[in-house]
Parts: sequence; structure tokens; C-alpha cells
Amino acid sequence: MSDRAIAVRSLSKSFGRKDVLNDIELTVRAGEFFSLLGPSGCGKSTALRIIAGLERPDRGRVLLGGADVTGTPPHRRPTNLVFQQGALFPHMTVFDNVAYGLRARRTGRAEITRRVAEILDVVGMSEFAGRAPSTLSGGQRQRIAIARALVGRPDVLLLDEPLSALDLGLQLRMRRELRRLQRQTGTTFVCVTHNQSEAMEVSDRIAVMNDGRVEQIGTAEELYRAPVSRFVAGFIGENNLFDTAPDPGSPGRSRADGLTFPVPGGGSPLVAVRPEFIRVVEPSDEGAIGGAVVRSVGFLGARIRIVLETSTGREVLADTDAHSSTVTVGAAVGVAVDPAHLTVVPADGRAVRSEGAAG
Amino acid sequence: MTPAGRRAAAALRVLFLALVAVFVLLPLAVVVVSSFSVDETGGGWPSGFTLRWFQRALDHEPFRVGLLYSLEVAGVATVISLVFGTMAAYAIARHRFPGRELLRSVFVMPLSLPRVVAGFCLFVLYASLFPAAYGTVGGIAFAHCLLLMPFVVAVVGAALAGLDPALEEAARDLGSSAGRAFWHVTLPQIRWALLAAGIFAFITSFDEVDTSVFLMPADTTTLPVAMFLRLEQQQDPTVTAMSSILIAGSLLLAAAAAVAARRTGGALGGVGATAGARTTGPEGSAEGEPTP
Repeated sequence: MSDRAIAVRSLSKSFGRKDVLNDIELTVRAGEFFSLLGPSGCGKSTALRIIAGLERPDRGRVLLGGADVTGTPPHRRPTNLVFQQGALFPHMTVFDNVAYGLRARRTGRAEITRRVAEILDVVGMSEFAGRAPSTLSGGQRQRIAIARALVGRPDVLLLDEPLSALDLGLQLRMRRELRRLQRQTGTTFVCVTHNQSEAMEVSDRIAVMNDGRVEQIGTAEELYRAPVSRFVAGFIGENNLFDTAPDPGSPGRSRADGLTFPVPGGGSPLVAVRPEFIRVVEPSDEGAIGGAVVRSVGFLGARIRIVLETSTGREVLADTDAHSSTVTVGAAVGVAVDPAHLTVVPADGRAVRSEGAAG
Repeated sequence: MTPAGRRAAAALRVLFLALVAVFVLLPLAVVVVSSFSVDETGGGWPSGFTLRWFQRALDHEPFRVGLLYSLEVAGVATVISLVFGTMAAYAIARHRFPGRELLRSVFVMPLSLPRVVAGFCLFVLYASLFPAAYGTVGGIAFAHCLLLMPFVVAVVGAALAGLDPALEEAARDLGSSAGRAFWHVTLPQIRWALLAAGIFAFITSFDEVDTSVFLMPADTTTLPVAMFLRLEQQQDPTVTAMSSILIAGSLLLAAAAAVAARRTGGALGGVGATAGARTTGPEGSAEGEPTP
């Protein structure tokens, strides 16, 4: 297999008049855990189904391991898909479900028995081989669905919102489980999800999708620290976004909502500051970029969430270390920002950090 | 409501259901009782009982020929309407294509056509274009298929609508062609619906007179038409005895179909109950028709 497990080239698809995918480009490396992340309706599931061969693109190509498979039906592709609800065959036992793909590919009986037992062991479901899917819990069903898709040793495992039907505690456990399975089998995983914390926790790289387009591809850290678009800045983690305008009084500064930001070159950029990089200071503090009133203070465990309101009525989120904050609701405070943590989001192109990409 | 009032309401409900049952079953009971009667003409409780009329019915040549003929027609019509009805239901349930709604109504349309009219139309069609089809098993079975299809499409369509399309996709993804995926995954899950639809289709075709009577010469006819023709000439309990046999057979099959319908799940329960009570299919399915 080539180093590129999947290459998707200028892929477009519409259903009726609605453009679901618009000129998508993706490259997934062999052996990586890659996530397609975006809100519902962004086209991520359609992209996955096109890679699986269950949908046909209107334009563009899909290459798997270097071979063009755009016109290849799903049963001849080296991919297997884990469906959202598992899609286990209700009239078959767990064993027969897992063995289905091996039988379809005419594997020998002894080999089937051996490999099904092996994969059931990997997902921790060995005792359930004789059970009917209807007797399993949601998490168990999803494990079987993963085993069924992995047993044929596909080059690429595709997962369509595999954890979204599970309750939160189970989701968190299954995330680690997915990551372990991916490492253990060395299979390339491509996972569709709308859950950004899930994508950030399990993925090597993430493609953020919105409205049929890929907004940005990168590691969780790259997406968090250097978003290249307004959408990514707002979708990945929490953010305070300011549409600034040049400050006529002082060059190199831009203003928004009663706050003044140091922006090299000035202009009217979109400025993003994460809540954890906004500090609440005395109104008279030299570092303050403006004033605000404390609207609420919430205890979140590891940190305290302070909601501020600027003179224009704009809400600003500030997170602070739980052990050092003494702000009170209704107090007039100053807002301070470490320039190193102020991100200028370009209209398009690459993110520019204000202090020459320091840190 | 007071306990006494509740008891009265319950008693009324039971009484009402009993009356409905009597209303439905009484005509059948009269036929069955008089088929064992020694009296040639009905009226009143039989003065004695005999199996003579059954013997006569089974010896009556047109009935014996007609029985085989009817079984052949019903068998052929059932198989054809099941195969094509399932294909149509599958296309309507799984594919979005222009004219899908039109196709759906075309398949339901024969239900709203009086059967006598359908029979006459087919007679004209055969007489003018396909004279060879007149009076043949194929010709009559084809006519019956038109009557059976709406029913098969409705029942199988309802079963398909309750299936997750992802199951078939999963089978294809795991290495099965589209055809094999249907065979391994979809077919086993609609088997009870197919059985129910098949039984009702068979009964409907077997009992059919209104359309069939136009499509065969008087000397070789299906069993119900033979009974109809004999009644026109002669009223003795031979036809009554034959009717009793048919009632027993129909009820048995209907019961089997109701069991099958129950196994396919709630969606078909209404159809099963309606058709079961009437022992004939399409009218029942028209009323309780589940939207696929």
C-alpha cells in the first residue's frame, strides 16, 4: 500500500438542487486516525459514503492506495464501514454477523472460525458469539459492528458517527477503545463526527468541514491555535471573536466592542482570543485593553468561567484558574489580553499570530 | 363511572362483538350446516345428516377439473405477483426516481376498478389482440395478477419501509453484490410479509369469479366459476358442500396468513385482521392499506 491511504480529488456531489459537497480535497496517510468534523449537514457523511462506494460523486475522483476506485462498487473496495447505529443483521447471531464479510469473500471455514474468534477477543466480546444482536447493549452492538468491519482486514476503516448513539460515559470509554484498536491493528481510520472533543481526543489529523467544503486540515493543536477561518475559530473550542475596525487614534491598533487590540499592520481583521487567555484585571491596570462589567461567575471544576459585558453590551468569556480568582458579580473590571495569544484570523489563507508566530 | 356502570359497559361491549361475530359467521354457518343436510332444498333445521353431497361434489367432473384449474391459476398468479410486486415495492421503497408516486398509484389503481369492468376490459383485450390467451391458465393468471399486485405491493412495501436501508448497505460494504445483499439480508427479514401476501394472493385468485368469468369458455372453468354456472342450472346441496370445503380451506389459510402477518410486526396487523375476516384479499387491503 502506498503512503497515501486515501486521496480525494475535487469531489463534488449534489442531491437535487442542494450542493452537498463542493470541490473537496483530502489526503489521508496510511495508518493514521483521520476525522471529518463538522456540524450536521456539512457533507461529512456523504464524503465518507462516497469513499465507501455507497454514493457516487457528481465530479471528482477517489483513490485508495493509489488506485482510482471512483467507479468501483462498494463490495470491491478495500474499505469497510461502521454504520451509525451499527446496522447489525438482526436475523443473524453475533458470530454470523462478524463472519458475514469473510463468507462473502469465500474464506475457508477454519479460517473464518479462527479470525472471528480473534477479532471478538480484540473487541472484548468473545462470550457473546452466540447471542442475537437484539440482546446486546448499545456499546456492545457498536463493538460488534467494529469487529464485523475489521475482521476482513480492510486497508481503511470508515466510521460514520460511531459513538453518537451511546450515552456520554460510554462515549468517553469507547473513544479510548477506538484509539487502542486503531493502534493495535495499524489500520487507517477515517471517522465522521460532529463532536469536536471526540475528534480532538482520538485523531492524528482532523478535516473541519462546513457547508460542503473543507475549511482546514490539521492536528487538533493546529486547529485550536491557528484557525484559518472564522468558522474554524468558532467551531473548535470556545472563542471570543471580534470584528475589528482600525483605531483612528493609534496606528497598529484595531478596535471592537469597546476594546482595543494590538494588531500589527492595523486594518480590520477578525481577532480571536480564547477564554483562557483573557485576564480580568483592575480597571486602572496598564495592560487593560478596555473595561467591562462582570455578569456572572461559574465554577466549572478545574477553572472558573467569568462572563463579562463590555460597554457596547458584548459578552466576553474569560476562564481563570480556580484558585486565584476573587471577582464579584457586578464589579467593574479591566480586560487584559496577552498579545502572544491573540490570533488574527485571515479572511482566507493562513492564520497569522500577532507576535510573529511566537510560542 | 361507578363499578356497576363499568360492568354494564363491558357487558355491552361483549354483546356488540358477539353480534358482529354472529353477523359475519351466520351465513357461513348456514352453508356449512345445510351441506350436511339430507334435505335437497334448504329451510329450517335439517331432518337428518349425510356426507352424500360431499361425495357428489367431489365426483362432479366440472368441479374436479375446476379445482385443478383453479389451483394452477392461483399458483401461477401468486408466484408472478409476488415476484413482480416485490420488485415494484422495492423500487418504490428504496429508490428516488421521477414518476415514483405515479408508479405507486398505478399499482393501487386496480383496487378502485370494479372487477366486472376489469374482466370485460381484459376480455376485449384478449379477443382483439391475444386470442390465444383466452381460456388459458396464463391468460387468467395474468388477469388475476392485476388484482393481486396492489395487495402484494402494499404488504411488502410496508415491510420494506420498516427495514433500515443501512442493513443492505452493510452487506454490500462487506463484500456482497447488490443482488446477494438483497438475498442474504433483506429477503430473510421480509419473509413473513411475503408469506402473508402470498397466502392472501392465493386465496384471492382461487376465489375470484367476477373477472374470471369473462375470460374462459363455459366448458373449462375455474372452480368458483364452475360453481357459479352450476348454481344457475340446478340448486342442490352439491354446491353447498363444495362451498363448505372452500370455506374450511380459506379459513385455514387465512389463519396461517394472520399468524404470518403478526410476525412481520404491527404494520400488517390491520391488513391481516381485515383480510382474515373476509377470506378474500384486495378489498381488505384497500381499506387497511399500509402506506409503504
